[in-house]
Amino acid sequence: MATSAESRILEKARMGEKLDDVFVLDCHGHIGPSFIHHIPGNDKDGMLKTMDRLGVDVFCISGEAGISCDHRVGNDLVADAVASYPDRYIGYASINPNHAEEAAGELERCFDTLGLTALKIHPTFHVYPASGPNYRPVWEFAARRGCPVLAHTQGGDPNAAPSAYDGIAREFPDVPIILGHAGNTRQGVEEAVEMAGKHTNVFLDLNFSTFYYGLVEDLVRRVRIGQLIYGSDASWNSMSYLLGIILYAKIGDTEKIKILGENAAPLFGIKR
Amino acid sequence: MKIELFDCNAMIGRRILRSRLEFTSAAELVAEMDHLGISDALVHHSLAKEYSPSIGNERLMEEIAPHDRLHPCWVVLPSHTGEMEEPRALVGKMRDRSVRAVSKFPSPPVPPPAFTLQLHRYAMIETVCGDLLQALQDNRIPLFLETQNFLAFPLVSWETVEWILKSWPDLPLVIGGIRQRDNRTLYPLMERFESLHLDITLYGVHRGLEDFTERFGAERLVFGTGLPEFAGSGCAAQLKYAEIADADKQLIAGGNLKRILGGVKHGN
Repeated sequence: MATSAESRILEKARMGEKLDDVFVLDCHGHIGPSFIHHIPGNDKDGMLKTMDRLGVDVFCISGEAGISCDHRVGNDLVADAVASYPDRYIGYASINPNHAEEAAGELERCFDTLGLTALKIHPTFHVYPASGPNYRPVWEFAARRGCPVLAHTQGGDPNAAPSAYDGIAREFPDVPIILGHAGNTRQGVEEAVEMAGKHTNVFLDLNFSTFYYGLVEDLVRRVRIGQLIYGSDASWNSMSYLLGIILYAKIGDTEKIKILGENAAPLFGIKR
Repeated sequence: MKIELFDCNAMIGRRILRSRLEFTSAAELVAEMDHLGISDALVHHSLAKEYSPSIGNERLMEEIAPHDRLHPCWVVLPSHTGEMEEPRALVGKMRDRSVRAVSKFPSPPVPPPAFTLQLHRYAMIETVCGDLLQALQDNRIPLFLETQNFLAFPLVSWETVEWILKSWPDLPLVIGGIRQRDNRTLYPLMERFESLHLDITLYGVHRGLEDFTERFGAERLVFGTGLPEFAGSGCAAQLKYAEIADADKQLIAGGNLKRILGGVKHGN
């Protein structure tokens, strides 16, 4: 365990100082308004302002509309952010599996025309199982293009529990699967840990479930460090809130640096 | 910038549920406060919430006695069953023991998914709680209400919150459990009721502190950690990195809570 004297990252957090000497990649973000709640500053400039304040170098985002009703609207908004700030945003393409007939064509459009380079699915919002046939185009596309898939997880939801990705992780061993929220609930976290133990292509996104006391430290003990990556779920959640949980964690700076960006960089084709 | 943090929402004792690395003692809480840079904390006891308020409150006083940075928050019940003193006597006892804040855990507004979420199982209605709320108002003793659990299950309805605000406008009310999904309800209540305050323990809203302070000022936001159930570090970082005036940060960090606790009259 690192003490405060050993951790310059902790000291920066305590002083509210920008992380200007650590590479930070936030693997989990959303752009645009949400039907569920009010989100201040949910556009590309509002989010960039927060990234600059904190020292987040790269933010991987999907469109709110893409994980709700209309994936074209969501993907277009992501593309606009990526085009405006190509060094700061990485774009996830999303599809709604309930409009599955459009999936293959939409994914081609996103990658070949819009400049998006990763995939995001939300089986809980779309009320459709991650392993169902309507998501096959996503997994097969990811395997062909060699890109990561950020997959929402929700303990207790049979469509999106971490264990729902067991067969997919086995069938597509070269596809990096990022389990969003690392299970989200207590039960979900346990399943996520099990999935990370079974599959080296499974990564855990440390957001939301890490609100719980000691969870980061617990995961560092139980999961291979290379499979833990920082995500905030901003603008759904607060980027600084989730970042702070990593910065204050009682782990070494070496582990923090891996979690904050070094582990995720190669998944998104970023050379460090 | 170094700001002085005063946590409005900490607990000691063994909880029914437990995270794997969770602590239970007052000494461990103080150590965690040191790690997070927190000077003081308002604390209640798990036995008061999850066993017996009167027994838990007494245990709290014993366990925090060696720690002058920990300040008691009693969990209170309506008096009609004899499990707790009638409100005037209760307030007198609080005065004698320098207790300046209370929490209540009434029945959730809808049947809960877990038995334990029934909490203290009484209705938050005039006949049951009116005399207690009146005594709290008369003495300006702040009432802390956890309105939702972490998974957004409602513990106190918005209708009840509005009823308290309308009926006891001089009672400082601090609601907690509010997360990022509630601004559409929270904002109009903040606009209308000046006695409403927000415990930001779980208020992880993107640019939320910035937006809130621009609309309503910083005087009604109160820093909290939720220790030891929650990490607390996220809330601390969100405040430290917020793009608001340093003076506003200090109010949220602890100035507002000190003002609220300093306003307790203890004599009516």
